[in-house]
Amino acid sequence: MFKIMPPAALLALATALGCGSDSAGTSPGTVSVSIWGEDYIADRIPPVMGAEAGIEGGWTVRYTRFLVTLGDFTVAAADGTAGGALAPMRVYDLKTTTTPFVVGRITGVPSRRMDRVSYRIAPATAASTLGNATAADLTLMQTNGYGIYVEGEGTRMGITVRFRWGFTQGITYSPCSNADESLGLAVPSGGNVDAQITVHGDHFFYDDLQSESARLRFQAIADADVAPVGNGDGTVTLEELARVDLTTLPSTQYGGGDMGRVRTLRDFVTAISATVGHFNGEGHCQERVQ
Amino acid sequence: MIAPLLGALLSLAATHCGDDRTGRTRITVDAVVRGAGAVRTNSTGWQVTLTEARIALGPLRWYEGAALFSRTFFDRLLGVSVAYAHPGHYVAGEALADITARRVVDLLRPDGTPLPQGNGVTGLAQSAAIELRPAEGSLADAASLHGGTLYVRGSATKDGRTVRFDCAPVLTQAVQGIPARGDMNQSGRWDITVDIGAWIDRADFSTVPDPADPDAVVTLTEGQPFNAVTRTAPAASGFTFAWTAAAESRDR
Repeated sequence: MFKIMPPAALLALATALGCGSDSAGTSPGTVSVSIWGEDYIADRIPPVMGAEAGIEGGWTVRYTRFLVTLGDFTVAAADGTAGGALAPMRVYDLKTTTTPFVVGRITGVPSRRMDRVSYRIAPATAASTLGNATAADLTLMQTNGYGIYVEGEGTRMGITVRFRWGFTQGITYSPCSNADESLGLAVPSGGNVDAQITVHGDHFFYDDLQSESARLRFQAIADADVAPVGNGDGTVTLEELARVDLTTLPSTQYGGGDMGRVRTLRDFVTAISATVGHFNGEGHCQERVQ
Repeated sequence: MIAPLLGALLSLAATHCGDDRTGRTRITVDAVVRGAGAVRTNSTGWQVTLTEARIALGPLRWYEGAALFSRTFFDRLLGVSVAYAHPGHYVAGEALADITARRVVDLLRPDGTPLPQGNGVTGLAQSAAIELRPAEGSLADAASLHGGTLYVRGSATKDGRTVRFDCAPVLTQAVQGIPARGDMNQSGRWDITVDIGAWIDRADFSTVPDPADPDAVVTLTEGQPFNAVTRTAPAASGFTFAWTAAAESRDR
């Protein structure tokens, strides 16, 4: 998850992609779109165990809600060919989806490589509707203008610290590529291709904005609830995170990115909230925050 | 790890599979490194003047892959304080150029410090990577870093109190995904600016105890100011790259 593709593989892939192009089919195809938060959201983020990824220091994190306002899933090609879109912004709760949740289907897509796949997370508005979330979830998102809302808890040795964070920024994920670095989707002639919007719930607990060796941590977040920084009520809010200056944390943690603007833990988790959206599992998209 | 990839590209430069848009020719790459921000009032209210600032740099490499974050975004509205950097997902793509020799750079030198010339192939660079690690003893001016990867010395004044300080953090990491956009369609030069003011911008010198000799220099090895320098110096946002093409190309 944290490694750069081996250079030899990159070179081979780049060369192969440069030699010739995907040939177009005769019949349009279909793109079936789903959304999923994988086990880290549906189940839990475990503590680190040996070589297995997890949260440092023995913490386990479980989400109780993971809401996203998401839509504008668009399929197109760089040469201007349009494929179609699922426009409506809908609110989804990824905690309740133990398997990929179907968002919709785009039909009549030209059967060729469609290398400009994109989608958006945006603040919920009156026009936003329900995906698989509840009516109360929709109201929460609309009332506060949230694009992402998460709540959950970290536990360690009998200690439980809850968190509750909402983010109002809009993020465009475009273009999206697969884990093998191929762009977009290859739509088969007369057939179907699956496209998954994958949301990575572990990102909120990374301890670096740029390092490929970032670790997952919860301790500094939990400490934000402790006086004098926090109010000791057992729930960490963004307001409490805003009182944690990153220079009071170990210098090897919570670094990277634009340090001129990322000064507090609130700045940090807000910055990293823009990175949760992915494509087809480990594929990634270029994020642009509006 | 990346150098063999660049070498492969150099050898493939004239043998790509017929697509003129991706054919490459060999170029040379120069680079000049400067510091900026040696005098400033930092965000904690201290008037800081740096009298020495040096760093051990290299190798440097340039890639086709997009940067981890967009500098143009940060140049937009102030107050939208977000860095959309992305740990673990930087995709460097094809390597285009490198300068493999290491140098100790004096960041206060007015005309900048030129690096040894590097090699590359034509292409659109979007990002760069710099390796930071302590200067090896064989490196010229290594002693000026006092054992660290970088060395900074200066004074900070606030409310009538002046703190004279120096600091030599040991950093060993690769700063990756730095925005470095340039159409390297011929040989040319990268101008690299290091924001040394950012190194001390978040330092609060009120936490530094007064030395017995008021004119003594306090060497920071821990505490908030040391933390501020150590976590800020390797941030990709502290490096600005600008490309200038040479007047004529040079094919090899």
